[in-house]
Amino acid sequence: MDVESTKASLEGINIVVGWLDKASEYLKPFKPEIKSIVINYKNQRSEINLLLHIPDGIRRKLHSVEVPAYQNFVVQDMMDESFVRIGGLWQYEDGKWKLDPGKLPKSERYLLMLRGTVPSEMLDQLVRIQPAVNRDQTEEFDRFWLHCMLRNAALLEKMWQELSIDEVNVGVKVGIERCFSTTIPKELKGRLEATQRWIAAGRGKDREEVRRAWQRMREVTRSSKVSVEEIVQTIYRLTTGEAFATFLAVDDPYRIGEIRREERLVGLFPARMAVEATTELGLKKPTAAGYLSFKKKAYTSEIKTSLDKLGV
Amino acid sequence: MKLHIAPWALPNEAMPIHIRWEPQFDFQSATVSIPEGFDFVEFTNLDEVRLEGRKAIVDKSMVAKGGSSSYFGCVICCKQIPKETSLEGVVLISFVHHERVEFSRKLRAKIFRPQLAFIDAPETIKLKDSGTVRSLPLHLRYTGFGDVQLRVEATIGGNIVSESGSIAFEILRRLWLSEFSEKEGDQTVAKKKETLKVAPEYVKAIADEVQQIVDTGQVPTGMFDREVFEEISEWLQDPHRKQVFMEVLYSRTEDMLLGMLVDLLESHPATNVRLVDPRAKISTQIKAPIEKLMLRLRYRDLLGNNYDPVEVPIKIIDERTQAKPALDIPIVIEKWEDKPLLNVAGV
Repeated sequence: MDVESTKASLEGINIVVGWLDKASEYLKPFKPEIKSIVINYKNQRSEINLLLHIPDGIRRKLHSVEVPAYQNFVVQDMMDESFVRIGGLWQYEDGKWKLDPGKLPKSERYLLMLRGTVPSEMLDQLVRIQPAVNRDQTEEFDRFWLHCMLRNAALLEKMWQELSIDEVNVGVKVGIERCFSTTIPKELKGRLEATQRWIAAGRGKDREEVRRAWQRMREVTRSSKVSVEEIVQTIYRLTTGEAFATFLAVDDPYRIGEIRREERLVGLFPARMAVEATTELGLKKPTAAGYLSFKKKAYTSEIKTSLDKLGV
Repeated sequence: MKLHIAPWALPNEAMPIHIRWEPQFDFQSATVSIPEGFDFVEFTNLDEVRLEGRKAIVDKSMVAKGGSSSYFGCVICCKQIPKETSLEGVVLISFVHHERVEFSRKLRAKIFRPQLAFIDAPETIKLKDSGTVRSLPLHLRYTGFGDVQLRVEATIGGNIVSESGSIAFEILRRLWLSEFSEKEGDQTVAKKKETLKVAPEYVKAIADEVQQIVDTGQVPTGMFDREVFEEISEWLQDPHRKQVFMEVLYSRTEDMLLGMLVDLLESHPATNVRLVDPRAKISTQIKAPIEKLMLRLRYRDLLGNNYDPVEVPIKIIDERTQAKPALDIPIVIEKWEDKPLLNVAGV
């Protein structure tokens, strides 16, 4: 194992930290103080808030402050003590963010807000995320364990007094095929049996049987009151994120995030639903463990009710 | 002190552990001992760690230097596939200060696996002039934990004699065998507006696959007679007919949807089992009067662990004296005994 790789992985973090250090260096006369760093894991955006102290004397002395631009980090805004937005005083020129302190309104302290995108590799180096590969099942529900932790809180803490990583998302694939396959309505069963017979006939060599099975399938289809299309639409409705969310539960400190159908080419039923559980991590809360549960019994019964309503 | 271990895992699945303590808790070193068969995979929030066999020793100086990040983590994994459906090991965590154990706790590392078995399979199959063998019925059992993908395979003398049935082949075959004609195709064009519009990409994919089968001429034995296949291929060489064929394919969306439903039912014979090929069949020529067929269940879990296949021998006695057509026997799993382990987190 892998102390070496732990050390190596920090290099990625150092790239961003390095820039922050550099920026701090340029802002040194203003005694920059990092108020917060928030990284949104999901959209990879990072928000760094620096408190600058610019007393009158310095403001008059300095003609210009320049901070070199780094990747896609930008000066998003700046506020004075009375929350007046003065971000417009920063200008981007020749790869540098420039400010003329003389133009600053009278204030002791200013909040400088930097925004940028954090490369996904860096996020991987910051956070370790893992859901259970396989569900644990009971009669009522299926559940997955979720786990995430900061990989190196100590190093981050040394550099940044306050760090939080929002929307750390743990992706879970919840299998739902079984809920549908156990709920095929009776009327449809007749058609399915006819179809099965046709398929079985197709496997053999008896051309006459194929013809008979085909006719039988046509008869059943003609007498059927419900179209397959209606059934398909019902299934679509039951697999929207909104409908599916009501059958999910997560333990604190997780929340349910985005829910998507995971389409296979097979098209009719999504085999699985892709569910995101999100949480925040920070220096004071470096780990998060909990369960995501799928109430499969309730979901199966909802499928049944919906199909019953179609009169199948 | 807060300790956590992943509540369950498959063999080879990483199991994260984290250990958090109050900032005022003082110690000189912490030790994580893992059971036999387990390995350390990763450590978090440590600058350094000392490994002594299956023990990881962490001096306080190697951990978080800051005050509020009083924790470290490690990830372990069971590298062996257990023989039984479950295996439990103890992870011992202890903290020592001034040569005294200040804190110690055991965490349970629980590993589970799936297990398949034959309950019943025919010992012999007799081939006679008078009739055909309709199917090879099986009775199987699932126990343990974890969803599996199952492939049923048959071999004679080491050669695989089972064959999968692609749905595209089946549609092609059925379209051919049923009332597939130009006339139907023409009617279909007129009726097209009334037909289902769902899953067109699926129909397209099937049509493409069928097209490819026809173009490459690769057709599995047993699916069609060679001459029938050639007949279809020749028939489809005509661009107009090909168009008609595609129209027919589209007009049968509803049949295909039903077929997919059937497929869904047949692919999930037990709660934790998905059949890779629900339409597998034995398809071969029998050359000797007595052949030993080996039926094998190959299965793997969601992590990709392959488990030792389960086998059962079946004797094929060929008593046919007249024509000896190739065998064409669907493998049918008639019965499942489904006994998964429930609530493994709470066990």
